Formats: sequence, C-alpha cells, structure tokens
Amino acid sequence: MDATAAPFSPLLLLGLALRPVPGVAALRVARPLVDAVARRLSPLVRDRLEGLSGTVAVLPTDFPYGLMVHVGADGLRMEPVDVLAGACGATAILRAPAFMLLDLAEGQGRDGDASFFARDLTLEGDTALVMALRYALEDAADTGAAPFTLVADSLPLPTALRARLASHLKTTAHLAADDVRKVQAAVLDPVRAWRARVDARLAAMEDRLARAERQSRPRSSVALTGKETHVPDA
Amino acid sequence: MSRTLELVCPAGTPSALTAAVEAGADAVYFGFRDRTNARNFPGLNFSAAEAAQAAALCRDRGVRPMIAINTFAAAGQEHIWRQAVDTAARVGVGAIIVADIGVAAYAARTYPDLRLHLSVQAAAANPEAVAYYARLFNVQRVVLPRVFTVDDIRMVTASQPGVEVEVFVLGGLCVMAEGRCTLSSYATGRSPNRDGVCSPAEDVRYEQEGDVLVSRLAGYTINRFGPGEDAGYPTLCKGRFEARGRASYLFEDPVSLDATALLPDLAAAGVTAIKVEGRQRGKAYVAAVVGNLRRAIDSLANGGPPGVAVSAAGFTEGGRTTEGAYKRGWR
Repeated sequence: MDATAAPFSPLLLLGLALRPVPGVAALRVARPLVDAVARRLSPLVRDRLEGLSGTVAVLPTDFPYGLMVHVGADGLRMEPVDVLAGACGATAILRAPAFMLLDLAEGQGRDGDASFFARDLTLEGDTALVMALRYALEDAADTGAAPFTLVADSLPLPTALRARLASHLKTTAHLAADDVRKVQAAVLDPVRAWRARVDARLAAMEDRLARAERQSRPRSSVALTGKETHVPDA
Repeated sequence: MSRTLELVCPAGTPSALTAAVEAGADAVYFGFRDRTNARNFPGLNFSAAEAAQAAALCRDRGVRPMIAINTFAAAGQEHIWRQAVDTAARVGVGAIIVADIGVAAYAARTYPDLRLHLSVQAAAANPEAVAYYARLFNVQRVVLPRVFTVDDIRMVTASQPGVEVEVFVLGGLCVMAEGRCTLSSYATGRSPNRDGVCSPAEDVRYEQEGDVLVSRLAGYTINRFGPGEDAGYPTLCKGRFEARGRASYLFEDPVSLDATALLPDLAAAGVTAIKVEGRQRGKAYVAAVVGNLRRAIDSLANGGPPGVAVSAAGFTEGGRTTEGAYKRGWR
C-alpha cells in the first residue's frame, strides 16, 4: 500500500461525512478534548522525551484532521490540524492510515519498523524525535495512556464510566474497521473473481497459441549422434 | 530432540519486556539509557529504576534478566561502564553481556558471582578466543558472530564444551565483523562500538520524491526505494551503491534473518541459547516473534517441525527473510 493513498476505512467514510462541517468549527470542537488528552499524556512520556524538542505533524491519510505534537522542555502539547493545511512549522511529518497510527500508539498490530518497511507509513524530517515519541507512546500505553483510554479519561465522566467507554470505543472502532473490510470485500471480490477468470482465459489462449506455434515449426530430425537437431529455417 | 534451546529475547522498553515475558521468553536482555549498550537510541532503554523493576518482574516469572553493557569503554571515561556494571549487579540481573576486555575484567574482579556473557560485539570467532575469555574472565556464555555456519558453531562447541554458545536466529542481519565495523563512523562520526549506535537517528533523513523513498545518512544518499518496493534500515552496509554503472546492494540486501527452520541443526550442534535481535523494535514485534519461536521450540521438543518465525507475521526488513550465513552460498 502507498502511504500517501487513502485506504478504505471507517475514518475515510467519517471524513467524507464531516465534509459539510467547516474545518474551523471542527477544529474548535476538537481542541478542548485534544488539550485534555495532552495534559494526561505529557507526564507519562516526559521522561523518554527528555532533552528533545520539535514538532511532529501526525497526518492520517484517510481522515481530514491530524495532530501537531509539540515536544519541549515543558513536556508535550498537541493541537488538531486540518490535514490539507499541511504541516507548517513541523520538524517531522508522519503519514499513515489513522487506524495504523492508533495501533502504533498502542503497540498493537505491526510495529513502526514493519509499517515503514512495508511503505505503509512515511516519515520525513527529524527521525530521532519521531523514534523517541514512538517509544514513549508505546511504553506509556501500558500505564493508562492507550489512545482510547486517554480520550475516555479526558471526558467529564464518572470514573467508573471511563473504563467502560474506553473499552466500548475500542471495540466499536475495531468492529467498524471489520465492517468496512467486509463492505470492501463484497465490492471487490466479484471484481477479483472476474479478473481471475479473465486471467485464466488469457493463460489458456497463450497456451494454445504457443502449442500452435510449436506445431507450425518444421519437424525435427534425429541425427546419427542421437541428439535432437532442428532443421534450419533456411 | 533432547536438548531444549533457551529463548533469549530483546526489550527496548519496559512494555516490550513485559510482552517478551508474556510471550514465553526464557531470558530477556536490555540496556541502560546511555552509550554502554549497542542500541543507544533516543527514547529507548531502561533507567536504573526501570531496570530494577524489570529484573524483579523477570525473576518473579522465572525468566532470566540480562543487561547488555556491550560497547567499548572510552579511555578516561571507564567509570560510565563500571557504573553500568555496578547498577546491573545491584538490581540483580541474571547475567551481563559484555564486549570490552576492560569491562569484563572489572566485572569479573568486582562481582565474581555475576554471570558474564560475551557479546557478539566482542567478535570471538574461534575456539582459542572463546577459551581466552573463559579462562581470564570466567565468561560462561559466548554469543557467536552472525557470519558462522552450523559447522563453524559445532567446531566451537566441540572444542570448548565448558562454555555455552548463543546464536542469533532472528532479526537484523549484520554481516560485518561485529565490534570492528566502523562504516557508521565514516559517515556520522558515531559507531555502535563506542557510542552504541549504528546510523544514529539524528543523522537519518527520509524524503519522499513522489512515490520514491530516499534514505540519507549524514547527507549521503544511501538508498532509493522505488514505488511499492519494501524498504530497509538506513545502514551503510545495506545501502544501494553504484559500481560499474549499476546500482546494487554491494554488501548486504535489506533482509531479515530467520533461521527458525535450522533450530534442530543448531541444537544438534550444541547451541545452548537462541537469540532474537531487535531491542529497537516495538512490543508488537516482540510479542509476535517471541510467541512464534516459543511455539517452534516447544514443537521441536515434542518432535514436531519448527515452522517459520517471522516472515508469516509480516515484520521483515525488505519484506524478505534469509537463513543468512548459516546457508551462505557465497562462501
């Protein structure tokens, strides 16, 4: 998969559904939640990010909004951004499908190296900062900083509800991803089957053509040495 | 198979260590957050407090914790390496993995009960070298270079039966004389030997030129991956260079080592432990490959096939695996 191409995903569909919403309004709504998530996350990753500074633009390839992650002496800050607005001021840019980015933050699925090898993820700019951020986030995920947990914990809800909401969000996201994959398969499988039939027919035609060509050649003769030799064309 | 191979697994963070333990590691190796270990990457490794917690977790779960102090001490700064040995001893690790003779001497003299393993970085590549480390420093295990064949390994185990042998079976494949390679230094001024880092992240830059991925190290272009082509690490030994007008991998392809299929041969050759490379990898990698190798070892112990450890999981560098030097056709 080309990391710059948008995969068919629930967030791609959600992004399309959000298209009528003005970007400025969407970012304004998202900002308080993103601020709250950053406040919870910052102390959990500060240790591994010590001495580093810069801004990582995390840009999903299948969703219109991403994050600018600012790392500095005061810890970590985040702000939502419109992906189309680019990554102005970023010292590093990370692009990948949104679910892959969530998996990376949680340490699930494939790891960052594997996604990079497969070209599903692209990284430009300050490699050291991105690597450190990745290790910090992955390690923090085991201490209550998994993405859905962070979101749930940042909402004004009773403590008992937060864990249930985090679990529900995660389950719903994965179910939605499965459903979208099923839709994709339902659409593409008949096309793949048709293509397989066409490929098989082409292969059969090529085979028949090759046999016809062999049969149309001058007949071979066996020399006295016993080795098969071909009669020259001319 | 009568021998059971010990499974030695990497951990770059406490969460990766937990993943390795839960996936069935027999031993886990990790390093401190400084240049005393060969994966001195930003954001990676363990503080002294984390190392203590990790060692305690390992001991609780019956897993041997090992700390890699496997770079070469700089003159005048030996205290950094000695301090690492002191900390490792204090937190109660099951072994330390050393490369430098001076560090080995300090550890052997100061902590005679602390188990010493010789890192692959020491490049002990013949029975005499192994015997020397065993005799002088009471090294109990040696990690052999990744350019050995199974016959080479058998030669060492047969002549040095008192020293355990550990070999890499999975992960990054280094074809250089480890501990001697200075390729990274030429480009960046830093090397795995003295600084604990090959191709420092600070010197690595990736750029997208349309669908082409360009990797650069300290300003030198070392590879261009075409559209859809699987990528590899930005190390000079796996760079694609032009010679006689043709660009190709002159030293080594970007490819992951997977010698899982050779586990029966390695066990028969007298190998004690098999090692997974990848302290820089995420916990998803650690969990997947350690789990697969655990099943492979258990399958072998029950007379079954070893299977394939890494390729099926889609974690490979360059999208390919090799049995590397174990099956070296170029020899």
